Amino acid sequence: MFNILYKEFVVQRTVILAYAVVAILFITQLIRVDGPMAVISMLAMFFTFGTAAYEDKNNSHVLLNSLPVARKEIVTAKYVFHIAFGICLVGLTFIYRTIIGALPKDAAMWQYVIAVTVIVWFVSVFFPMYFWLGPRFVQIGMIVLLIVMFTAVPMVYNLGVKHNFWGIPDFIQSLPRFLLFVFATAVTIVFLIVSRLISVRLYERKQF
Amino acid sequence: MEDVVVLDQVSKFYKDFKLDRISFSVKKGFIHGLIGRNGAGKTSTIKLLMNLIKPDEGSIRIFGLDNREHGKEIRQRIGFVYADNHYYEDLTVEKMKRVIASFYHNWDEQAYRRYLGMFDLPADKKIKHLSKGMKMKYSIALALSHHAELIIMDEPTSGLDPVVRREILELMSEIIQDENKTVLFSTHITSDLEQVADYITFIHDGHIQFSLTKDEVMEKYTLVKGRTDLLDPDTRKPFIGLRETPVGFEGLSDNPKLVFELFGNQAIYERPSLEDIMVYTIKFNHHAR
Repeated sequence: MFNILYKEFVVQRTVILAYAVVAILFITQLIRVDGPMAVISMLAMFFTFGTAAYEDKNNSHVLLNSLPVARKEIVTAKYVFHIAFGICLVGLTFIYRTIIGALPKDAAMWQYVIAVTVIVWFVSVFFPMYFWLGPRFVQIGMIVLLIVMFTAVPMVYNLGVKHNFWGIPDFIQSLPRFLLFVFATAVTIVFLIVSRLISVRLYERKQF
Repeated sequence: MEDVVVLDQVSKFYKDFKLDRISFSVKKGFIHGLIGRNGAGKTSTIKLLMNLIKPDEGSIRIFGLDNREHGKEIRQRIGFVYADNHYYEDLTVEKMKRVIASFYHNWDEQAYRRYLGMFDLPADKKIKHLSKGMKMKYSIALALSHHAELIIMDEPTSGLDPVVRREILELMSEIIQDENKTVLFSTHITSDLEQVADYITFIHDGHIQFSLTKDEVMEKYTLVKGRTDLLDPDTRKPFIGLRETPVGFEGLSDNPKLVFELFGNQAIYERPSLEDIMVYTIKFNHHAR
């Protein structure tokens, strides 16, 4: 599986660098945004869409499936690569805030956890849909994501700020932290495992 | 002789096309050509071998192993070359090689460098900047640099100039000097097969017309030329394909003995080329029988 991860890295190296630069602009607030963690999560989502579109354009499924590698490994590597990319983007934020001395307070730490969770959930939804619907999903999904990013997210965020997020943060704060963390992690892991199982089944049925 | 590839009653159904119970084997240490017109089912057959598509019926064994159960293991021993470029166009020759090399246990860097030199391939050039011929050579260099026992090539000479085509065909002949290596290649260019193939499988409309040694093919068929008045419902029967003109007929038969009995010295008998066999089978077969 490491050879597939290596392939992903070599093929996407320039794109990864470009995303890192854009992420830094948001993290350092050179481009001012409310809630940079949400933007970072969105960037990770765009990266996943972009790489899928690139693979389809190159028809690289034919190449990959002609190499000595099992389809199950191809699917697993995709999950690992994209989740790792998301974690790296979130990690970049963490490192920057640590360097400038804004060491994460407890609440801020939750932002990182939530961002990673959102990325994992996104990846878990993306791949089964992608393997099921193919390039059509990428084209439509990218447009939907753009619309959501520039219209729905800011609207909901502003509305949330106005209404103190309907008391959700307070409610979460009132719950026992450890229990909440364990519960969220368990649900996310189960969702991820189920998603991968579905993706493997769908990908193994694919014909190129 | 050991069979490297065995297809047994393999069918694949599409909406407007089907590969219908195809069976043939590929012998170790030889060049095996898969011939047929465009859309006859050659690429589908190769995709079945590479596990890119699944058969609806039948079984495929490569190196004695079931190709669905042991796909990964089998592909470790296969070198593949496709008509279309599937490598990442934005990568350089060197970077793409590094990626491909990481998948093979027996990657031979020295052999790769040798092929790179032989083909004059620039390592630092992006794949998108290579010509079609160079892309094909690059693909062949990658396929040959991990000591693959079976080289599968889909239309490797299609669209290439005669010099590059000849180079590739000569290389195929060199490859099988090592008796452990086998080449299976598809083409619609009959002269390529006449030059290098030991075995020929002719596929037409998803059916195997024949799968024989080149010599057997040449012995099996005869091209008969004669006057039109020699033809009647009985004498038409032994022809696979028949072309009639105001001055006479030309027909392909797979029963030389019978046609000689029917026409004797009144007709001329010639050894057909592969192109004749292909053309008469495909184009003129509706006139016969």
